[in-house]
Amino acid sequence: MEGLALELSHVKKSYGGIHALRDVSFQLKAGEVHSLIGENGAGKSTLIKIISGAIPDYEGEMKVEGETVHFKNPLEAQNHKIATIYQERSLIPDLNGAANILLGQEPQKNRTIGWIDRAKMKERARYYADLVAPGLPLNLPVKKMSAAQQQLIEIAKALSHEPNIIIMDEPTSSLTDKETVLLIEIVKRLREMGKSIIFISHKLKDIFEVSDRITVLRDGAVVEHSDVEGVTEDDLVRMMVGRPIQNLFPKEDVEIGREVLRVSHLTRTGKFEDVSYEVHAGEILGIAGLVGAGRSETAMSIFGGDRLDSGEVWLEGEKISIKSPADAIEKGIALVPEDRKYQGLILGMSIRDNMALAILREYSRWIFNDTRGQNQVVDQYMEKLEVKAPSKQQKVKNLSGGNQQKVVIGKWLSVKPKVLILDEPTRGIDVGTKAEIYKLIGRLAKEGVAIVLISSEMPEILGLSDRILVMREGKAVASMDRKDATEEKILKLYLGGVHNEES
Amino acid sequence: MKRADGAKKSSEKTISLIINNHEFTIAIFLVFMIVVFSIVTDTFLSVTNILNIFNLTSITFIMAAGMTLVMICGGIDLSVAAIMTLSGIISTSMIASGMNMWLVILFTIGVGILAGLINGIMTAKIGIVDFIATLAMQLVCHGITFTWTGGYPIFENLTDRFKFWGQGRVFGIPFLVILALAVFVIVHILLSKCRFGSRLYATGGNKEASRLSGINVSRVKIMTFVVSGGLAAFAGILMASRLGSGQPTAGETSLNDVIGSTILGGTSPSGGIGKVYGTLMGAIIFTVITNGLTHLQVNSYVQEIVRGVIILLALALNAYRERLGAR
Repeated sequence: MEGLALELSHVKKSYGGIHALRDVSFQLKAGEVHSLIGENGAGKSTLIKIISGAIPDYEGEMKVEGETVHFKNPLEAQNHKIATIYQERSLIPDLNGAANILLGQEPQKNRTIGWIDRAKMKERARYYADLVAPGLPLNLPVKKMSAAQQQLIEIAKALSHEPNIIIMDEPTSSLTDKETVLLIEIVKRLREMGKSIIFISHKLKDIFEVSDRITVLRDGAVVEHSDVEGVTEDDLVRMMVGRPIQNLFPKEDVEIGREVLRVSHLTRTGKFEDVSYEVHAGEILGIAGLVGAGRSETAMSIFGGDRLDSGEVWLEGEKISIKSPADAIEKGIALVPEDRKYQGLILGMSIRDNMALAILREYSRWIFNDTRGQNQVVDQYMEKLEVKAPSKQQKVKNLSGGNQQKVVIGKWLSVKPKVLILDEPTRGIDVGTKAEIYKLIGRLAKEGVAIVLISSEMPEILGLSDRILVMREGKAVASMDRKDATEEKILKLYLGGVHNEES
Repeated sequence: MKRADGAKKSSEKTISLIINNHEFTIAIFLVFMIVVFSIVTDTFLSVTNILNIFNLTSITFIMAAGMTLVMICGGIDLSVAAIMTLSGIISTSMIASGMNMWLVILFTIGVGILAGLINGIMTAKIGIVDFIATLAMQLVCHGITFTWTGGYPIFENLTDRFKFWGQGRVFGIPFLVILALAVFVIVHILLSKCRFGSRLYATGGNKEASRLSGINVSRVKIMTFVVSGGLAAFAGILMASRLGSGQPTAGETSLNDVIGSTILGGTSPSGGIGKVYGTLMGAIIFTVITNGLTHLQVNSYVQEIVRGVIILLALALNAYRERLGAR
């Protein structure tokens, strides 16, 4: 076909049993800005990683300008004139702008000894920098530049490879409104230069500003390809949501008791600001929002894992001060963290040792471990959670994701918490285990535990929560009862597309 | 085809047994070394020599026990040999000036603990890399030793009571060996039965997850250095007592032996894994090799090459095992 810069047909990718992409076809026309949108976990990142060569093993076909390709590494994609600007910065903080732009392709006076031609390097870096933003400083180490300037350096660096296709993953997420306007101008100028651009953003406003066409992904599949003309924000939100809310989650009605945890005006500079909420015994408070909206950060500070700049934490009507996770455990606050492998588990240790970690103080005699007492607790929770393993001596690194998560949850249940904060408790685990965890959460609520559920999965939030708090850009923007909540309403709130509907 | 697969599987199983069970592997290695030296020399296998080997092992092991704790926590302590040497000088000088022996021992161990505490605070609280912080401590202790002694040994006026620690025997068994066994038992219990042991393995395995499980990871790390410093000082007293003098060069080869024993014993330099009985076997292997090669009249520099190669092999096996484990 003529005029196609990139074409993907029937691309599939799964991790274990979980489908990240199921049969995605996607076409990028030459010289267009094509936006890719979808909720967290819809498959956007997987898709761009395949296009940019970061994921080599996938099924399906990819063509770049009519030529069939299968990239084994990012370098091959680069050689096919595809440049990717990832969300995480890939700059070297101590090098200056020019050196970063031409990293790995510095002009040399002498090839054998690799003597760099500084004058020529400056000239070439200036050329690419001017394409992006004339006057961009190049002599400054990039760590001294603003987020926006760093972003521009990233773009100049991408351009230095003379790409035909540019992929931009959330380029505006760390920019102010003013800087965003500038960036959008740059994207338009790149289009005029004949580049084809894949633009990924959560900000619907930016997408409308810049796109020619839009592809909506949901649960690893394409929902819709559409021209931007004639589409409204509401249409997009509806497409992203789409699925009927299944009642996978039998949330039982539980008598909601007294207030257990109240946090007020919590602030940690740069992470979250003036966040207040409260949870009652038997209540599940769902916290919705994008990754980076401050949900996990707030929870981590309540738990004592990070410092708080200001704000108060009240437990059962009493003001408390939590300086470390040990304090939180003693007070009866538990946190099942977001990143199971990095924050939740010690992978090389056994199920037993992992699950006993939070009760070492409680089950000990003088300086010795009360091994029998610990074993009893571990056995009890392994059974309660139905951890599937040959024995409790099994190392957790050999368990499936779902069972690993059960070990983490078991570790925290063993401290008999009054407040249980669950941060993305079902990320990356299979459907069966998910259902078990939902049932467990319901049962804990029934036992009178106050539960805070942070989740990026909308059905989870809507199905389990009694009340829902929406966070955006570090602030709590809305709170609503379950009966008032719809997926569209929440999505609009956390994407920030709607301004006058807050309750 | 099927049979080839089966054969491949069983050989993989054997390999995995060897790789996963480090203590088993080195125990076999140790037995092998003993057999070889017993056959090729007449003098190796005798009661006197075996007692001698245990004696020689003791001091290295006491330091290596401390190093094992530090390494399980994911750290390294390069100052142990210098602390040991300094402690030998401190204790002999004080004994020579007629002070009470128990007071001297307590004070000297106190100095070691203080040095370890500083190491711990520098690394765990201030955030200096272990390698650099303990290297600086090594320099400081070494400098004090030589400023104090001018490089001359201290051997006057040492009491017999003091010399008993390193030279005496109880029921024919060298007191040094009994002390080393006591350290072994205490550290083993500390690792396997105590809360501290559980916290230590956890911290070395994943610092962030341990911190979020309510473990004070800085305190755990500081404790490992404190124990390491204290044991190094104790080893210094024993060394001075055994030699009957405070030697400013007593610890010259100790650091290599200590780190070598610990690594050979299966403690992972990246943390989270290690057993003190592994370290004990590692220390014995080191002494057996040195001793056996000496009986074979191998030049001491060549011995160094052999020890170096063995450390490298142990590390390679360690790295290989970790890579397999990661899959």
